[in-house]
Amino acid sequence: MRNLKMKFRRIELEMSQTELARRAGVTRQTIGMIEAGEFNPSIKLCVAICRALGCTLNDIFWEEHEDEKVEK
Amino acid sequence: MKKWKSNLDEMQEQKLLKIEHNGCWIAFWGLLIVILAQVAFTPTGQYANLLRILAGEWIVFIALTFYMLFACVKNGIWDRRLHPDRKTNLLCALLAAVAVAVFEFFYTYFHFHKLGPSLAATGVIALFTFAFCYATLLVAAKVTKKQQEKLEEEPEDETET
Repeated sequence: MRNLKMKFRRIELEMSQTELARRAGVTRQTIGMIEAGEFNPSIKLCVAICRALGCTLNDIFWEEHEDEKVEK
Repeated sequence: MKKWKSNLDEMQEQKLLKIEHNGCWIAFWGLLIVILAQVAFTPTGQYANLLRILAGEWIVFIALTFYMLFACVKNGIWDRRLHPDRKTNLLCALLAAVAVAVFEFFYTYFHFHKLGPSLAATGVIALFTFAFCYATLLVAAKVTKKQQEKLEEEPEDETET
C-alpha cells in the first residue's frame, strides 16, 4: 500500500526525495520505494525518516482500522 | 493470479534470506574449488576429457557469476564496503592476478618440472589476468555508476503532486 502520508508531509515541507534520502541516510530509490509501498522499512529507518520530516511514527506510519475510528 | 501466502514471519524471512545467502556463497566457492582441483589433478594428456568432465560445473559457475554481476549492476549495487573507483579496480585485479599466478606456477611446475618455462607461463598468465580483470572491473564500475546516477534521479511527477 502506498505511503501517501509520508509523501504529502515531504511535499508539505517542499522537500525532494533526494533531500529526504540525504537526511535519513539512505538512497533516493529507498524513499521512492517506501512511498510507493514497495518496500517495508525497519523501525530504525522509520525513525530516521520521521526525524527528517519533523513528525512522529504515528503521523506517518500508523494506519487506523475502521473499528478504531468508531471507538474514538 | 493470487500469490501464495508465506508461512514465514518477518524474522523467519530474514533468517531464510541469510541461509540462502550463505548457501549461494558455499556453492560459488565450492564450484570454484572443484573446478581448480579437477584441473590441477588431471594428467597433462587428458585435457580433452577434462573439458567434457568440467562442462557442467563450469556452466553453473558462469551462470551464477553472470547472474550476480548483472543483477548488481542493474540495481546500481557495487559492494557493501568497497567503492567502484580506480583504487578498488587495481587492488582486485592485482589480487586475482596473484591468485592465478600462484595456481599456474604450481600447476605448470608440478606437471613439467621446469622452472624457467613455468615462471614465463606464470608471468604471461598473471599479466593477462590482471589486464582482463582490470578492464572488466573498469567497465562494470562505469556501468554501475551510470546506473546509480539514473536510479538517484528525482522522478518528474514529484514536484507536481
